[in-house]
Amino acid sequence: MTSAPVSSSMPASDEASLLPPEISRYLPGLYMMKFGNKEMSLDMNKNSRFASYRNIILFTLLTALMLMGVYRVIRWKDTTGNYISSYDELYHTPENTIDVAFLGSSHCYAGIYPAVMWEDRGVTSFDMAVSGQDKDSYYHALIELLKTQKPQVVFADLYALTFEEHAFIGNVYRNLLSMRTSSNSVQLVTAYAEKEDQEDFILRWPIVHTRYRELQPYDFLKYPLNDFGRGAAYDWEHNDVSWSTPCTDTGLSAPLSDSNRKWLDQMIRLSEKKGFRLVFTILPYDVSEDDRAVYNTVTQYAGDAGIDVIDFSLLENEISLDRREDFRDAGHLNGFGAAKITRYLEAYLDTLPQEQYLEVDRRTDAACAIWNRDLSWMNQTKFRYALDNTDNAQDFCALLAQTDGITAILSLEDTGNEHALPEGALSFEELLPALKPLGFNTEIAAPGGKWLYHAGELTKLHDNDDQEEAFSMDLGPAYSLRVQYNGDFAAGNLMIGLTDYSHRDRRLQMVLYDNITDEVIGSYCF
Amino acid sequence: MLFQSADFVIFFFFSVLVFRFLPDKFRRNWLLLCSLFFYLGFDVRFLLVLAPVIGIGFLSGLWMEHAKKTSARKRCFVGAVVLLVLILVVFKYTGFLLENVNTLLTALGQKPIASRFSLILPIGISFYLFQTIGYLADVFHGKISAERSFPDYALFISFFPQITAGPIARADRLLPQIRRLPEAEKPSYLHISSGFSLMLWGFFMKMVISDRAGIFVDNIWQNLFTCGTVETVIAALAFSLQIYADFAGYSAIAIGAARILGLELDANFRTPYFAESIAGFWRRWHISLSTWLRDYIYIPLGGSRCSRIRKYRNVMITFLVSGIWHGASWSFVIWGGLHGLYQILGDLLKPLRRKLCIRTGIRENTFSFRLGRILWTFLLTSFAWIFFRAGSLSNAIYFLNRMFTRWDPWVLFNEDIYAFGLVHLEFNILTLGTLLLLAFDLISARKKRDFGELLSAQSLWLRWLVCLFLILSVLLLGEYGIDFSSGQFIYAGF
Repeated sequence: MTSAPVSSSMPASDEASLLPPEISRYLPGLYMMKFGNKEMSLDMNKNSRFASYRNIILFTLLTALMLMGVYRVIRWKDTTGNYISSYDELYHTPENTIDVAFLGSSHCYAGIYPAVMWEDRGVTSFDMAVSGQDKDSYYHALIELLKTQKPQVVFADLYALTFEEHAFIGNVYRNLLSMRTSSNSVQLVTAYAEKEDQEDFILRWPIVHTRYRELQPYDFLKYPLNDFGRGAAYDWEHNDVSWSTPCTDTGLSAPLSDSNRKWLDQMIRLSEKKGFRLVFTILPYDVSEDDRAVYNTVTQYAGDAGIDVIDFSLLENEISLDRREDFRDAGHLNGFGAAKITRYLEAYLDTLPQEQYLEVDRRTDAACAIWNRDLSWMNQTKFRYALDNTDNAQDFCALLAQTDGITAILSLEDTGNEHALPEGALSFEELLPALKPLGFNTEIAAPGGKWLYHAGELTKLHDNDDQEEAFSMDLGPAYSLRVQYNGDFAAGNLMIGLTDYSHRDRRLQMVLYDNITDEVIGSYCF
Repeated sequence: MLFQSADFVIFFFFSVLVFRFLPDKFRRNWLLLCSLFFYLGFDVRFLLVLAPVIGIGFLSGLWMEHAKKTSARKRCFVGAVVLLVLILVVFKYTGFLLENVNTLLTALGQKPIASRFSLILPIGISFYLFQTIGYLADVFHGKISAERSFPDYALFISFFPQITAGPIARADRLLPQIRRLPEAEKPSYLHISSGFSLMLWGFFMKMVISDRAGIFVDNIWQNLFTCGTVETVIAALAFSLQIYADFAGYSAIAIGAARILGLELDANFRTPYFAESIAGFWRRWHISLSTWLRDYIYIPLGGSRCSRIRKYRNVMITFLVSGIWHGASWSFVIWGGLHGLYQILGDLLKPLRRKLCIRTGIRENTFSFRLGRILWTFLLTSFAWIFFRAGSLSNAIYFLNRMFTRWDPWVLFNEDIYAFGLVHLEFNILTLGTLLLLAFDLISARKKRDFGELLSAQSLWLRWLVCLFLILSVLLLGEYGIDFSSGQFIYAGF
């Protein structure tokens, strides 16, 4: 005789009578509910159990898909241009194409331009640099690079040895969140982050979910520079940073900290294991006495291990660095200074024995085409710098006519209304010669109007005639242009998005749009 | 382990998974193990309080049942209750009592008593002590028989979804379910689905609405010196929203989690801000506490079946107990007292109100009249919440001073209101969340079902759509993570 199991076929009323009605409603296996037109039993029989597990699995998959899609949008990215992380650029680099890698912080991405090395010699180099890169991030960034690349030489900047923790939380995020999730990224988090924060950094979502407050077009669209950037942040602005510290060695040294010793040993071991030549650099900045003492100790330690240290802060005279022209600020070089450093490193590479470094010109290698695009981008930034520093219409238009990378939207008032212009503004006759390189002549320019200038072609978009409707077009995935005629010098004549670029006190207004980065460069008027 | 932490999600998932595949006879013990792990995860020292409370309750229950004489039963009951209340007083009210004694001594020119040690306040102590007292009272009055299985009783007191902030379970409801665990069928897909969606709704209320409103409220309270009428009024209303979404959110998570594990806890909220009177509010707000107070304090005192004066005394005592139960501060006592006063005044003025309605021809059953009563009740409760939020009497007085003495309507127009932690986007999210809460409460009030029950009755695509929306809202818009010092649920502090 077998005892009767608690069965789902037991009458509901019997079972329910044991408990108050609000509880018995939930007795398992007896709950009947309508789904659409079907009344289905929720007994956990075989079929419904299968359906339940199927539903749970499907729902979990759907949730995972949704969250993955959202994560792509909110994940930490480097699209602002103010701070740099070159991980996304690394992930867009074809495998085994990088011959020379530079590691470091902003000193590195501001001070070494791979595009210069590419232009000079066809050498494929890359700045594996993140703002304020700390020692742990440094080491794991190199491991990340070595997953897909086999550089012959790695130049590692030593600035990270002068501090133990980031001064800005933003730099922690840049260093700990921009690497793809892997065992390497988890090791980085456990090495750097405080124990109570590690879970958040490993999961990432608890940190980046607040980015819904700051989402920009490039969180949804692909950021063009990530496709081809080589880690450098091109900047040509210069500031006089003639600090008082002489570029000489003070001779002071500080005890080698445990963390610095550990890091140096790690790096040396890694270079031996992976077979690349390791070289330490100290890129030029206003080095304090404390930092100098650390560098001296580290240089001694590295020297004992047979590792070269190139201290650029002591080589300023040798490479003719000009503190008035070659720096953007006291901590960072500009493009002119970076070119000098990069060329010094080119010369240094020439001194290495062939078994350690065999220079290869990869300019004909199709896999390395992104270095060409990066070079174009560097030239474009230099060109933009030149435009920004041109204050007369003649030179400005002449420069503009030389590039294909920039689109100009021009708005020109007709020959009348001279009285509306402020004193000193260019007259039509004075302006016309300047416009000639862009394809203007008296006949075209005299009635005024709105034009698009792109790759040597001038296209009229709108006449200065109030009978016509507004003309609109998309400039890129994130910007739209509208031109119309509301009257001479009136508001709303030239709109990009909701920003009004209409000129109110000049005859010619030009808005420049960068075709490489798909962004508005700025507005210029003459 | 906070409900809104990844640790809890992992812990709960693991608990359910093992519960699901464990042989039936081990399920009770597994839940007890999980409950102890959950509770002691806050602080292992809490066991020093929880264990004696469980022991006192269990042994006293058995003792009462075995006692042959009524006097012995009574002695045992009173002794156990005194002991339990003493534990509560020692851990929760020592500082408060000492502070007041010292104030008195200082006023009399005497030397204040120095505190030699500080006691930790075990989380949820007020809840599980009240649950134990309720159990003992039920055994004493013969409503239930004493529980003979120690693991069952220990699980009844320490069941992890409700130990930190209730709902205060009744023994006649929860204990039979616990006893049935070994032979009951495992929770069905519908249980899991309903419990899961109820938990999601709870997380939404807590993390998207309550914590967001809390940022604004905290900013106002921290910057009272610069706030006037408009900010303080909005902060008072926002706190009403915050505490409701916080506690109802917690209760939804607790009830949903229990439902997934096959246990049904009593509802703790029934759209309280739709109440048309303060008495009605307390029938809908923190139901497990208000019914506990009704059954174990108000009715034993004589309830309403006595003279009007005694009835009002009973009401006032009940609400003062409720106030002091919430926290060791005079501001909580005043909060409780205000609610008692509201009820007494409401009762006293009822004939006058009726007369006025008859004379003026106002019909009390119209929508507009009822809406007016709802709004008036909401305003009264919101006013009382000021004392609840203040933390101290002086803070409450300062808040009221700013509210009634600085008229500053321009902050609504010059955008100053957005300077208190919530920018436009955050305000919009809060507004949208509040509208969703309001919409659900309207449906819930009409259908008399909780979120999980309502959603389970819908078609698959709608259930999934709502659940995906809630998951995304909580994970994306919820207030948590490294930049946010996520608060414990407000009531867990009691």
